[in-house]
Amino acid sequence: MEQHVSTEEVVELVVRRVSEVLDVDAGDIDPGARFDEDLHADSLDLVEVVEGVERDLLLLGIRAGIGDAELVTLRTVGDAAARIAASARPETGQADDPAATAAQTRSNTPVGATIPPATRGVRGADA
Amino acid sequence: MARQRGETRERGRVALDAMGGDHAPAAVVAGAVRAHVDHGVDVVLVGRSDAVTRALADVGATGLLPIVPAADVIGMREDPAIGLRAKPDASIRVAARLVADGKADALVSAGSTGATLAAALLQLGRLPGVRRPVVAALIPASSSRSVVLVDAGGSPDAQPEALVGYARMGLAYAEVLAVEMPRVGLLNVGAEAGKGNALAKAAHTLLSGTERFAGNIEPEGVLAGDVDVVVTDGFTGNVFLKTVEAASRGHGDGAAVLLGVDGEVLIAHGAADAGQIAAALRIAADVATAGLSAKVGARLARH
Repeated sequence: MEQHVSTEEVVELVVRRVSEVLDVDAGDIDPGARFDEDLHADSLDLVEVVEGVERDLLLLGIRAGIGDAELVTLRTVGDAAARIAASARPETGQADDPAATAAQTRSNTPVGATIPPATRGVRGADA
Repeated sequence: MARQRGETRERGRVALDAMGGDHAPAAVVAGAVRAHVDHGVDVVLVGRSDAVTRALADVGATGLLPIVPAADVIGMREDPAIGLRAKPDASIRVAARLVADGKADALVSAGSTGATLAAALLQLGRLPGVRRPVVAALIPASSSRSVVLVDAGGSPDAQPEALVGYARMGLAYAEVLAVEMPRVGLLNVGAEAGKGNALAKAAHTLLSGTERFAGNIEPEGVLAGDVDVVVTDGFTGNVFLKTVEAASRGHGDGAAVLLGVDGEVLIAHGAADAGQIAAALRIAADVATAGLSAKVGARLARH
């Protein structure tokens, strides 16, 4: 299946959002970091991160959205990025799904196209 | 990223989750009508159109207040965040979105506190440097002033690090309430360091390095007004708040403030009657007019 955004690109967006939501240095977040054991993220953190990344992608002309049932099964940062990337489609202007709803919100600074360099770190991760 | 404000009205319009609370929508709508008729509060009702319309008719107020329809409701037993994700048209989320879009200036709900916190965070975003917003209630102290209680019931299972953030937000709120050099205490079962459960001990260690920390404080000290801010986890804080209210046979001022979100959000008691909802709406209008969250944000930026 054609992918509209690479998993690596989405990893950077997820790391940025996790850093913002959990108030952790982006450099300390490894793609292998687990949401529960390593990052102590709860369901609200997870929803915030995913909706934030969905908004970031929408600004890049990409619509992505993972289902509620799938959301609670996300284990790691890399896992979330891979599933979001797999769900990505070009934006068609329809506003009837969670990503569009999320994009209507005003919260947080959009990451937009300025993605920081890839980060490496082991804090909390099972390095 | 300035929020779009309504240009042709005064600040102070309150979006009310008409479906939230033990006695919703009847008592909630009746409270909105009272706040509007008796005190001129500008209220927008958010909820199921048929139920809200009927509740307005029941108090002889058909057409008195605007209704913004929202088809869904987050249940008290639902995971708030997942529920909001699954129900973008839930009344609490629609009400929070009105504030985010500048169509209202404050949000009030007597529904699930967790859902209100989550909706506020997802729609309004957080103030810079805030990890998780906190519910702040004012506890009447024996001195002439009140003590800020954080967390009064937002996050039942807090990590010790979270309490440091609660202390910062509580101090900022106390400063906005014109307390000079406020002091913060950690709610505990004894004054000495090393008292309490694992959370309290770890939080004490972390708070010891922070400004204006006065150490552990027992409930008696809180009620005596020995500190200006008392910090604890949301479970303990909610039990403490409810105990104080039960002992005084009242429900206090009817609303707690959500600190740390970029907007004005008030949480009313789940069991609130019409009078308490009306009181919460008046507080919300005042808070919106005063721009509380911006003031808290400005003080947080200094510490």
